Amino acid sequence: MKRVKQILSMLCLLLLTGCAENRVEELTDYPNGLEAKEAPILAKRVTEGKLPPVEQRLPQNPLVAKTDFDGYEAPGPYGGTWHRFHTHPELGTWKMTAGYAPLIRWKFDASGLEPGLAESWEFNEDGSMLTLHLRKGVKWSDGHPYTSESFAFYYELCQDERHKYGAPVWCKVDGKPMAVETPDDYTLVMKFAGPNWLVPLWLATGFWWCNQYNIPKHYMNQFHPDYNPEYTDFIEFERQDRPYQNPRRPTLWPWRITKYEKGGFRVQLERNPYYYVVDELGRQLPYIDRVKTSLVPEPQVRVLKILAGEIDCQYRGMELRDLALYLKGEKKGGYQVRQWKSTAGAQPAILINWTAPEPALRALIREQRFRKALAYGIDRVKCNEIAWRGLLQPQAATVSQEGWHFADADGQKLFEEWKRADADFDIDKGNALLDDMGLTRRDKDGYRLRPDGKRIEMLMDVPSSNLNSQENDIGLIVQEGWEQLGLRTMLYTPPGAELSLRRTLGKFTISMHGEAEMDLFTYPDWVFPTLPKYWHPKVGKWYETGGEKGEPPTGPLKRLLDLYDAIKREPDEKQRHQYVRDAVRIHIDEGPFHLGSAARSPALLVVANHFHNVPNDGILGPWAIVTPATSYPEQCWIDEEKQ
Amino acid sequence: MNNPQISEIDDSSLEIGQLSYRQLIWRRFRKSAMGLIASGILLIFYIVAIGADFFAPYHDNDINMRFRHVPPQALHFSMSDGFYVYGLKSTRNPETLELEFTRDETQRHPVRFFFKDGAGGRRLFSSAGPMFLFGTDRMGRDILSRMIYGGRVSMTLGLVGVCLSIVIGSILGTISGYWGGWVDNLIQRIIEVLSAFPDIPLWMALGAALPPGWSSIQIYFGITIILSIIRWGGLARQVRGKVLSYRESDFVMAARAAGAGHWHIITQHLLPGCYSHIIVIATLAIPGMILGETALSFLGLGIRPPMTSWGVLLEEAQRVTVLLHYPWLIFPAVPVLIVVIAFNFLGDALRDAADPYSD
Amino acid sequence: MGTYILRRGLLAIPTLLAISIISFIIIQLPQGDYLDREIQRLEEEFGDSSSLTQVEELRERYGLNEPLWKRYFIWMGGFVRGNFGESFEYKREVHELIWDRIAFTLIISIGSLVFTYVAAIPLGIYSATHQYNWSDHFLTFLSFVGMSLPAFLVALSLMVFAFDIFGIPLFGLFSAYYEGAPWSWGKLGDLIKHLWIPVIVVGVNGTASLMRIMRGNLLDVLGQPFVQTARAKGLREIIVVGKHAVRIAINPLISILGMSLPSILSGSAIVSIVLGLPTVGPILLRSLLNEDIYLAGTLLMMLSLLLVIGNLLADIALAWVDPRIRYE
Repeated sequence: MKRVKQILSMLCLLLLTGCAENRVEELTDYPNGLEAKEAPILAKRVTEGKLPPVEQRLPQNPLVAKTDFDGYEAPGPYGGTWHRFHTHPELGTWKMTAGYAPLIRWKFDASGLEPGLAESWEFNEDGSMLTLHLRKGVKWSDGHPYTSESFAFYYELCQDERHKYGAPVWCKVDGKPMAVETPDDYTLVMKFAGPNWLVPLWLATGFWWCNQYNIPKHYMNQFHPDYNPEYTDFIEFERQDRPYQNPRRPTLWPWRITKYEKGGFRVQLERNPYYYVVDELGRQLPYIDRVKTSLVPEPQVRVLKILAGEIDCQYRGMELRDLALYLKGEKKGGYQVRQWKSTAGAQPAILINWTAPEPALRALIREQRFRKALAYGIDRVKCNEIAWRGLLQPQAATVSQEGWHFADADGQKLFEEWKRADADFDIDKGNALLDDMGLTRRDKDGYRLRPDGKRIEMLMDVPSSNLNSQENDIGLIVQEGWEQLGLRTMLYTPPGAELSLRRTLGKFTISMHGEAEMDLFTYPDWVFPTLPKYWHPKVGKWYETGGEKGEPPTGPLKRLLDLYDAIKREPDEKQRHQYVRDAVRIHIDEGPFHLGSAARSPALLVVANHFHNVPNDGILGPWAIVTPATSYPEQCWIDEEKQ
Repeated sequence: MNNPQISEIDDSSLEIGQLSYRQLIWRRFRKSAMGLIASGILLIFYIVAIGADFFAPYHDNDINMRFRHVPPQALHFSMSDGFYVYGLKSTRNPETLELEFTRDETQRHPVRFFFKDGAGGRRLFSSAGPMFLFGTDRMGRDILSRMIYGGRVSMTLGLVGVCLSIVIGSILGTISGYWGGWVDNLIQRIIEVLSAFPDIPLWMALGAALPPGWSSIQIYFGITIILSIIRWGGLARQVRGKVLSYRESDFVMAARAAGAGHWHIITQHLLPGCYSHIIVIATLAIPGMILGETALSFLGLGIRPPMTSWGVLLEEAQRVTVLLHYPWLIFPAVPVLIVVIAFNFLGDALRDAADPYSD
Repeated sequence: MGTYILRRGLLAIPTLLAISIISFIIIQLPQGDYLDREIQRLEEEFGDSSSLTQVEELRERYGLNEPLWKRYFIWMGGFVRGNFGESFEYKREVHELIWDRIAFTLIISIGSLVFTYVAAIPLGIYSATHQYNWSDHFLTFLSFVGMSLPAFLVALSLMVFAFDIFGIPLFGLFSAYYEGAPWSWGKLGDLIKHLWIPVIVVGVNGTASLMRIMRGNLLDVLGQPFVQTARAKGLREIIVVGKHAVRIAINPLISILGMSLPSILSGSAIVSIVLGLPTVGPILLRSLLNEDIYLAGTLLMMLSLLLVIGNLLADIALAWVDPRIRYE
């Protein structure tokens, strides 16, 4: 018995010491004021000889984080741990926050581009050659220099038949891929078959492109069949090439993954000692030492975690429906709710399939009066009140009003007109339009008949997900209105993946989809039918495949696609914006092609009172402009005394 | 050896025995107060649920844009107005941006009986003004009405599902017990496989496989079938056990000797012996079905709106916001509780009564 | 005894095979595949699916273009060798994802089982010895209430009100401080502190019905002649009940042990989803909805395996207590 006791107490001791190791190191010997150029934990490692001094870790000309936003307080101390959650094992919301290290960056207000890993870039005269000048001395998180070979290696992979990366859409002009040249370590040249003015935007857009083209060749070589005969395929290569999952893969992110536990249920990150961005005072960022993020797929548990004050700062993952709860819990939870802009132009948009499978319905849909009648049949005020508690604005379906295409007064005027186009709820007007079309015959139930004598019946696809119950509510309201127009409308919830299959293959008649887009140059498909999506799946297919599949555009769609082709060839940015406005004009005059409900919801974020330098206002919307990463969240700091 | 006379006698004697057996059950059942109360409650619930179009003050999907999340209103009585509720005043809380309701005592909305609603139907009681005795949900729908309409779906679903599993279970159980051999073995193995599935994951899997494109009615039956798939196994086992014990009994032997066919023996001799047993099991299985439906809805795999069931209502209450700010949305748990408890008491009483010779 | 166990064990194999086929078919019943769902998820959540590139290539790599039976054999072939395939959603080998979760599932299930028996047997005895007393009626009523509450509602309400009234955040199995920390006594204590809600919520249903059964059994036994004889001999009531009757009345509960496993596992699945516990339930639901076929299939198989083993143990226990069964 005595022995058991002994063993037990020893075990206890062992466990306790194990616990102690987990505590934060004592760092009081190292300065941590505004004079400190690096974090104390790194300074300690430097004195221990484990790390080169900070001057050698930073590039010659480091990127200086922008502070010109409302809510920026002051440069902060180093240290602390940022607790947050993610909603999916691929850390999408985290990559939007701190997984953005592109050659060229979007500005935080999305008004244009600014330098990233590239200090500068220029096109030749006709736009067929882009030269990028990389920052000298940028290093991967393991200290290896970042050079132009990274992009070249990526492009090599794209062209490698064995590897599954296809060449990106934007590198082709008239079907011909670009050529990449690296005259030296810090110069990157892309040559195209013709003018390709939009490439800088593509390089800046979305976290997914930069995470693909920033590939650490020196590390990934080990798994490349050409460099390592152990491998015959790219399976292990791809497994290693997941920056959000593989702690060993060097990264350019402000924080590098140190622990990715069991499918991402708990992820720990630590500051990247070689991060290339500094604050105004030239101190290396990020300020915060560690990040702990855990997977919380259950929305209600997320709510409680926030109310309990367990979250330091969280962008995305909160529902507007819980706003009142969050506001009431501010004091107890020690946090503040901020409302950014979602910039959504329709939540959701009601899509009318231009190429609806049923010929008689298609003929009706192609008639502007019919689409206008449908627009008049939607009670947008009711959509807003019921589904969104009156917190949004009823309006026609548009892209984002904050988009840079509409920045000046003229642009805003046009946008206001677009918002109001056919956006009234007016059953009489709708009925008059339908009567005017000659759809006056009705069956015994009062439903209008098609020219061929059958009842007009439209199936509306409604997403089934619980999270989107707003869409179910709005479906009911739309149905109610259209029935008053004498149009039989049935709600249909396609099983799981069939919803998106029906969308992309163009099998639906009416469907729904949230609408927001800040940049129509790279993501044009809400306005221009360039991809098999939204209201134009088959025409989009035609454009995407270069006319091989799908259906050729006619009438206004043809003109829209011509405008988009003109954008791609246009060197002058102002003129490119003008083409977008011309396209919007077509939507106003010859539309609507898709219908609005309510729009412009606030996007919630939660910031603990001890968490600083988070912008008061901003855009948390479409993925393309990668917010909040563009606000340099690596400048956030934690007041550890109040935590 | 085909002697019709014997089989006739056999039949009639059985008839008499069976009758008195039933009488015995009834006599004993009557003594159980709880059983009687439970059956009374269930009767009332079923009547109200099936007559939902008459008993509910509003239709379950009547949306009231201005009256979202109205708390339950108190019912008042005065000699001049009869029953009435006060009017509602709504203001938007400037801080939380939520609508908040206060009582407007200048307005009185009398409750009218045998009210004629907009669609031309008659309702037992309703009001021209807003009258939400149990409050409203996020779309301004009357919770009381939704509970009544939801009961129609949930309670019948339990009955239909149990009937289904009784049919499957007793047929297969009888076959299994009567014929034995490889048939018995096969059926037993199937039951074993089914019972080795934990039921919620199986529901999840099957529920996820239900085409959501189905109409509400199709889904309703789909769910019923899913729920009964799990339940028939246990029933079949019990029936098999009974049949096994009767198979070698004297009266079955006699019938067989008299040349009666399989069908005759099964329907006339074996099944009647199991009736009481089956009824008890069925009664006790209904609560499981009703709770199963709520669980499926909670997982987002059950009945889908616009059809209303108790599961749908409880699913909508599954939010922290609701529990803290709109607790009246959990009211639908009350009828679930009452009905399930009543079925349990009824089943208990029936079980006691089904064994009339004991004691 | 050895041969009996062996025979029972062998019999479980075809059952498990059948289960594997059925689960695999069920998982793939819905239209489309994982990638279609992923596209849809990205679009619903973020309005854009461009971050998912090379869909067709991925489909080929995951073998999603192969016919169903072939996928089954690939998976089953790996399964018996301990290779469960790769989860699409988590981009990880399935075996890396499941063991922790199965362990926590077992902890909660066994905890609930213990709670069930510890609470139900004394209550059942009390109820039976006080038959038709007001306390018996009260307990009966209480047990029916326990059987009637939907577990998910109880779980969420408990969690919300525990937080709102007492300010204790009870979701998850660990508090933020211990999450991810190495094991220590403090962590163990923290786990136990968090464990009681799921254990009680999962167990309450079983407790109620088990109590009813215990009461019924004991009443049956108490009516039997040998009890009367014992009483007639002048033995004290407490000895009659405690020493003779209860022993016999408990026997059938062993066979119920095997039968109550499915409901306990299901209960823990639902409660875990509500409380965000790291057990099998939440990832099983997600993987089923996302058609993450290898993960879902493996989890279903594991749960079934647990049940089969549980049943086996119950059978063995029963055979041990009652030797006649062995020779049946």
